[in-house]
Parts: sequence; structure tokens; C-alpha cells
Amino acid sequence: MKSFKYTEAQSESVACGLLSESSLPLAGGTNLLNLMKEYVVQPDALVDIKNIPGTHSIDEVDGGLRVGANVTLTELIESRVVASGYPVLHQALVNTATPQIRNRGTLGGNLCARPACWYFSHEGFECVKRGDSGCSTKDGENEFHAIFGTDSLCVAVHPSSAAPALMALGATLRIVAPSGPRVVEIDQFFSSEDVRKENVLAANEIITHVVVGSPNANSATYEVRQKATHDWPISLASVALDLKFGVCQSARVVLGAVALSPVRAGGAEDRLVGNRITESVAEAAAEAAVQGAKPLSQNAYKVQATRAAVKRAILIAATGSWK
Amino acid sequence: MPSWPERRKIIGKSVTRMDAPLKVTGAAKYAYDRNLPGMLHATILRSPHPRAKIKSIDVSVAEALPGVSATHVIKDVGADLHYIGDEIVAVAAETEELLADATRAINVDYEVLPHVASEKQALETGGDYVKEPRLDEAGDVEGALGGAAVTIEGSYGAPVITHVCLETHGLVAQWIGENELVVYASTQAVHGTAGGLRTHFKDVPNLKVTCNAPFMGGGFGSKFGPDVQGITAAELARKTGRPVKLMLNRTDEHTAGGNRPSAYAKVRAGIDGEGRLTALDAETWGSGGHSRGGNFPLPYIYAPENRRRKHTDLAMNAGDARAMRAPGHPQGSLIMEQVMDDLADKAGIDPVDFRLRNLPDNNKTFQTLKPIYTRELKLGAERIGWNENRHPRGDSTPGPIKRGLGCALSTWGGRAGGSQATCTIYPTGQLEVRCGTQDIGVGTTTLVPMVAAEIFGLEPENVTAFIGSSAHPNSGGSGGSTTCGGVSLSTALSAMKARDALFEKVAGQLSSSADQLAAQGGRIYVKDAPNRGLSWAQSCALLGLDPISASADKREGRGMSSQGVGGVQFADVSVDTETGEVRLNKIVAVADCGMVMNRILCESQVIGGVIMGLNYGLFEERRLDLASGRQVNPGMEWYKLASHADIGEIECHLLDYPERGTIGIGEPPTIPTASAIANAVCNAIGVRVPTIPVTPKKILEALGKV
Repeated sequence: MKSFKYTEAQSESVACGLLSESSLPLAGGTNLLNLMKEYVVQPDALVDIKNIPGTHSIDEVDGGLRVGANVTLTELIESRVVASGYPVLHQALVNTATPQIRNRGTLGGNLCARPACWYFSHEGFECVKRGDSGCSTKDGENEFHAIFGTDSLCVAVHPSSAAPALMALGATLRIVAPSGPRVVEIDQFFSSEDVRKENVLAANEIITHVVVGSPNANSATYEVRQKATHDWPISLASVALDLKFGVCQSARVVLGAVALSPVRAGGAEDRLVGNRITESVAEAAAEAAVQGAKPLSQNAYKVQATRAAVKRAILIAATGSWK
Repeated sequence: MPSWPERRKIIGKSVTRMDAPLKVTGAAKYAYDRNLPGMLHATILRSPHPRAKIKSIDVSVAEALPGVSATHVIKDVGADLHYIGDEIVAVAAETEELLADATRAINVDYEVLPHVASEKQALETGGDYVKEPRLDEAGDVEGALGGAAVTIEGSYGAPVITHVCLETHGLVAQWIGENELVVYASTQAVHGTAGGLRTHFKDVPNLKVTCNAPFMGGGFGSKFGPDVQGITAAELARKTGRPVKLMLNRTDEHTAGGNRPSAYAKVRAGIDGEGRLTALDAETWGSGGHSRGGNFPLPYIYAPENRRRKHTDLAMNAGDARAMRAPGHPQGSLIMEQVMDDLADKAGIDPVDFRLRNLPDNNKTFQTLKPIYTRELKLGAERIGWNENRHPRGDSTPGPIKRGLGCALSTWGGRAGGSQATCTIYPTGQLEVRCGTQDIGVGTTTLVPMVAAEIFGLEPENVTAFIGSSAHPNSGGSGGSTTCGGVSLSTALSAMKARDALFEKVAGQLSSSADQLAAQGGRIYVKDAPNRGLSWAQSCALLGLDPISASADKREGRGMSSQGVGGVQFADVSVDTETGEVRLNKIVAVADCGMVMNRILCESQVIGGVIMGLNYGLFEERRLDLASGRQVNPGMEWYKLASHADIGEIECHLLDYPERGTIGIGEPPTIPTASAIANAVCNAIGVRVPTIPVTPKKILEALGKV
């Protein structure tokens, strides 16, 4: 890999002051270092943000949770508060990647991970995210790629397993810039004018905390995966329901691994609100969730996988089981 | 005529891997772990184009980089490059970290030429990409199909997969003076690797070459010689006067380290009113890379009287195939065993019964195997719960999760390979066996002491085995499941000779003759008067200052080994018909290898073979991007392999046929696993997924849910 300068930032403000387009933040490094070894990303400097104070704990605040960006996936999985109050998040993470990656990888890093695309991760292919004009994926091996937003320049999928769950919970992100902190709704986070980026963070900004509201036991994530562990999802759905006397008052349904960003399935949410959650209601919502999918040449099967994930996540959220 | 002892105290028992403590503590040094003082690291710049000609090479910028010690041109200007990964220039540097930067600083100009990256493109392109078809024909296929009671037509196939050796290919090379080369290699053949280097450096006067491989991290057929990278490391070591380590990185391992050829088939087959296979018409094709073939046996173990087989080898601009655990057999089993199930299902015959009706007896080997297969099919069916749980094709129970059972057969040779050994008894009582074989992970390090201990009436711990170096007597490469047979025989025979020589020394003391003595329980005694004896230490002390050394060749042990094994596996799977996910509930493997030498290590071989086979069935595929000819998944992230949670329960049964002598077991157990899984999935979901790996995508497509 290209040689780089390494600095440990001891505070948010120091970190922001050092970051730039060619000076990147380093947390767990499970994604960034791989990309550097392949020369996909070639920074001049890395700013280690792992030791910034106040970013390592899961705190119960104002009836909700405030999670530091440097909390590891393993710490989130092992948190009793998360497992009991936020099953949608626990289930999203418990089998993601591998134990080593979960031990090292952080929540902030998970939200900012680069696309899971085998064309992006090798400089021998054409990739708009790496600045090329073309994309090898669209007419290439796209079995594991997007089924939504496939008219856009990039058809990779967002790799974060935490993001759909946090979107289902309506999380907010605390972001710091050199000018100070700001709060961004997670629904607004995953967008970018620049095809080379996946979110609204400027080069000199980092996420420091993720905040979610009150616990919701009626929440669940269901993931379709070829392998039992150590594999990327084919499709996943995260669902949070507000049920009163069995009737759905409001719902958030979010799809993962199907587009460049997590996708809010508004059509599915509409099918749930005002109804008791039965198998047929869940099926109708699942059908609504895949409306608008435009698969690529090899991945029409992901539409069915997504239907199944949405239906099962809804049933688990409402009843604890899909069977 | 030497023979195995009638009553065996150690052979056939479970002896835990004697080097296990070294492996689990990390004390075992593999080639990859070998770091010599002053050692340089090396790597190879490889072709970024699937087909090209080299116009120019400029290494000046790379050689000027701080820390870069030398370069070595492998393919020069004008040379043809045949695939992405083809070797061009090697570079040696002070640290491993410098290597990627250094290769990027080498400037090569290419004339890029059109390429072929799939079997389909090869057929469309024609010319040199399509080899002359081979035709094998017997009887009257059309007549038999016309008169058949039931016929089927089907398409079946498997893509190219790679070996994915945990330890990649490569070696560390060190020159001592000008004419002695010592290498530490990850190899299946210490003598073969030394021989390859000896040939390459044949102009060096009085050349001495030694290849050491005390531990080895997997080869599966892909590691028999020094290879380009081994010769290159030795060249760089000579050029720099320093030791050089050149191990492939994971990408190069996938693209240039060998692979199993693809196999595709269009089949028509028919059976008569008795449920006997009478006709098979198969058109098959496959690719073994840019210069290798991809043929495989078909109709595999079955013997329809009327058959026609047309096979076409296709070339592609991709890495060449190498032998991979039972070359050709997994493909042959995969296609034929699915044909057998399709026929049985259409005829309404139980697939186990259908196979029993069709077991071949057309030659001596199959006449021997017929009762073995019969026993294996019955035992396997019982252990998988065939009679209780098997249903006709398609699980009709409600709900999206469907369960199915399937079975498949395999065969292999496994004769004893060439092997020589020397056994030495020291006056101190120490006992050693030297044999230039290697332990590629199968347990040869444990086998040698077990066999010698059996002959001397001692324990395996009393024997020191010297293996894993070409400094020891010649023994063949570990391929074709030939090692266990060859090494068992050379060890046993050299031990018998040494023992008999010791008996000569002891006989006088016991007032007996050598042929009246026995060695058992740490003593040497008179057979007819067991109380008249000496301890092992007392016996050896009689040697004075001169050890006994005896050498033997496995060829002296006729009748102590044989070949030809049959195996049967059953799979129990659950398939989620809404998501396409497959989960393995259980695999039952029933295997035969004549005389079992070490039960626990033999079972370990079978379990390892099953795991490799289930990866073939469910996960593995070398995927090439057609436009660029580049593999999209040359790593551990996207080249899918089972995690522990994917493996399910594996139950292994070894049949004992000690009268057949030793026979190899390395390859056979990987052959029928994918076939059994493919048949179990079909039994579960009611439709055939035409190719492996059986993925969620293919299952949902086969079910019409796409």
C-alpha cells in the first residue's frame, strides 16, 4: 500500500482539523485497510479516531440510547439493553461478518463503510466510485448487487447491517465538523451529490454518536444469507412497529443490501398502519416493499428474497416468530 | 513373502496426531513461517490482461526504489501472456510491505489481444479454443433409447473451482556457497520439488539440492513441483546471495495456483422394464484453462451396454487446471448420479434400490466392490433414516421449508505409491525410520511410527520418524491417495528387515535361532518359550557400537496393499423455498479403504473430504468477469466457503477389509458429496437445479419464483 502519515487524534476538534480528502479517519480499520492494500483508496495520512473520549459507551439517556461511534459491533451485540429493548439492532448485528471483524469494527465505521462490490474493490475494473467513467457491474457479474435505483450511476449495495435497523428506529446522528457539532436524521444521512461518496459527511466531519429513542420490543431484522455466517446478506429487512391492542399505529420498514443506500419502504409501511399484523397483511406489505424494484441482469432472485425478508421481519416484530 | 502381522496391536487403532501439540501451539513451522536471517521477500508482477504480447519491460524505476534488491524477468519481450495472473517479472525486497509498491513501479507495455473468458465464448470463438472432440461409443444407443421403458433428458454442470490451500504455494530458497541449494517448500513432493530445481540448475557443477517440508498447509493436488515461483525464488536468491521467500498472495493463489476444470453435460438416458440402465447418450464439455484439458469419467461407475459420449475440451484465457482431489471423479459422479436419480424418480423406483440394481460387475474391481457398495448403501440408508424419512421427489408437507434426502456413489484406485525407507536401531535402543515422504496434513508423521512400532512390538512414541525432506530415501509425491499404502509398506518392510537383523544378534543369547523369535510388549523372546527373552534395551545393547540399518522398497511387499475402493454418501438437507437458502442437516459417509491404518486420522480424512465436497455442492465458483477476463472473487470474502455453522452433522463409517491390505483414502470421500447434496435438494424442492453450486439464486429460479 502507499505509505501514509499516521496521527492519533485525542479530541473531536483535533480530528476534524486534521481530516481532509487525502487524510482519512481510521477507526476499526476492517474496511479501510483492505481498500488501501488494494490501492482502491490511497490516502496520504490516516487520523486515528479510536481514542476520542466519550465515544466508547452505550448510555441510557432521556429514555433512549446514546451509542458512541467507537463502540464495537461485539459490544452492541453483547449489550443487554440493546438485546432486550432494540431487538431490530441486535438481530441485524449478531451474525454479521465474522467474530474478528465484529470485535474490531465500530458502529461509526459500519455506517461509513464503503460499498460491498467486487468491482469497486479492485482497480482492474471500471468503477464510477473510483473516478472511472464506466461501471463494469451493469453488464457484468451483478448477482449480489442492487435491485433498487439501478438507473443511477452506481449499482453497488450499501454494506451496513446496522443502518437499516437504526433507520427503522428513527435514529439521529451526532456529527462534528470543524465548526462544531450538528445533528442529522439518519434518513437524511445516506445521500450524496457526488457518486464517489455514500453519505452527507464532508471530508473533515465524523460521526461521534448515534442516538435512538425509546425501546421497541416490536422490532426485528430478518436477513437472507447464503451462508449461516461470514457472508454478506442477499437481502435484509429491518422493521419497527408501534402496536396498540394489536393494531399497527405506525411502522418503519427499511430494506438493506438492495441499493446504494438503505431503502425506506413507504408502501409497505402504509399497508401495515391501521391493521392487525397477520400473515396476509405482512405478505401485502412485502409485495408493496418490492414495488419499483428494477433488478439487473443476474439478480431478479433478490426481489423474492426481499419479499421473504420483509414478510418475516414484520411477523417477528409483531409476534416474535415468522413461522 | 512378507505380510502384515495377523494380530495387530497398533495398526487400525486411533492414535492422535503425534504433531498435534506443535500445530495447536504454533510451534510447527510451515514454509510460510520460515524466516531466515537476512532473508528477502519476493513477489511476481503478473499479466493484467487475459491475452497479450509483451512489447517492452522497464524495471529501472522499481530497482531504484529504496529497499528493492533485485528483479528477475520470467517472460521477456515478445512472449505471449495467456491469462490474468501469467508471470512476467519477479521482484525481491527487504520487506513484504515494499513488494506491491515495487511491482507497480515496473513498466510493461502490452499488445492487448482479444480473449475468451467463458466456455460459451470459447464455443462461439472456435479455432484453437475448441479442441478436437473425443468420441466413445458402444452398442446401439438410439435403438436402446427407442426401446427403453423410461427415458430422461437433462442438463447438468459444474463451474471451475480453485483449491484454496490454506497455506499458499511457494518456498524459501537459500544458497549455501555456490553449489548447495536448500529450500523450505509448501509441497506435496519433497523429492519432486528438489528434482525440479535440480533440472533447472543442472549447469551448476556438483549441485546439491535439499527440499524440506516438515509441515504443509494443504495442496489437494496443486503442489507437486517447484513451479515458476519456486524456481524464481531460487534464481533471486542466487542473484542476491541472500535467502528469498516467495509465497503467493491469496489473489495469485486463486488465479494462478491451479483449479478443477468445469464440466457440463447434455444427457439422454434410458432404462429397461427391470429398472436397469441400458442407454446413455452424453455430450459433454469443460475447460481446464488456457492449455489443460477438462475430461472426466462418464458414465462413471455404471456400465450401460449402449452408450455414446462426445467430449469437447475448451480453452479459455484463464489459469490452468491442476490435479484436484480425485481429478475428474467429482464431476463424473455429479453428472451421473443426478442422471441416476432422475431416471429412478421418473420410473418410480427408490433411488437406493435403483443403484443396487445397477451396480456394475463388468470387471474384477467392480466384482470386488459390488458387495462393498451393497453393504455401504444399506448402512448409509439406515443411518440417514432413508426408509422412515425419504419421500418421493418434492416435499409435500406445508410451509416454505422443504426437507430432502439424496445419495451418491464414488470409486477410486488408491494403490500404494513408490516408496523407500530406512530403519535404524541404535545400541541405545533408539529407533528411527527415514523416508522421503511428506505429511500434507493427513497424518503421515503419525503413520510411520505406528507401523514401525507394530513390527517391533513397541509403542509409536518409541519411534522417531524422519520425513518431510528430500535428504531421506526416495518416496513419491503425495497424490492419487498413494502415500499411505507406499509409506506403510516401505516402513513395515524396512522395520522387518532391521528386526530380523536384531533377532540374529539376540538369538545366541537366548540359545535359539532368529526365526524362532518374536518382538512384542517391549521384549524379544522365544516364541515357544515366552519367558525366555530380553528387554528391548538389553537386546539393543548387544549391538555394541554398530547400529543396524536396513532399507526396503515398497515393491518387496506384494500382497500387502491393493487398490479399488467404493464409497457411498447420503445427504439430508432443508431448503427454504421462499429465500432459496439451503441448510445441511446431516451427511453420512460410508467409506472403504481396505485395512484401516489409523482410525481417527482416517475418519478425519473422510470428514475433510466431505467438507470439501459440500463446498463444491453449495458454495464454490471461480467467477470471471467476461469483459475483462478478470476473476471477481479471488479472495476469502467473495469466494464462498462453508463456515463451521454451514457444515452440519457429519457421520463417518469406515468398513474394515484388512485382507485387502492398505488402500488410500485421501481422495474418495470428496467425490460423492456434491452429488448427494444436489440429489437431496432436488428431492426436497421437487425440481432439478441444473448446475452447482446450488445457490439461493438458482433455487428461486428453478422454483419459478424469479
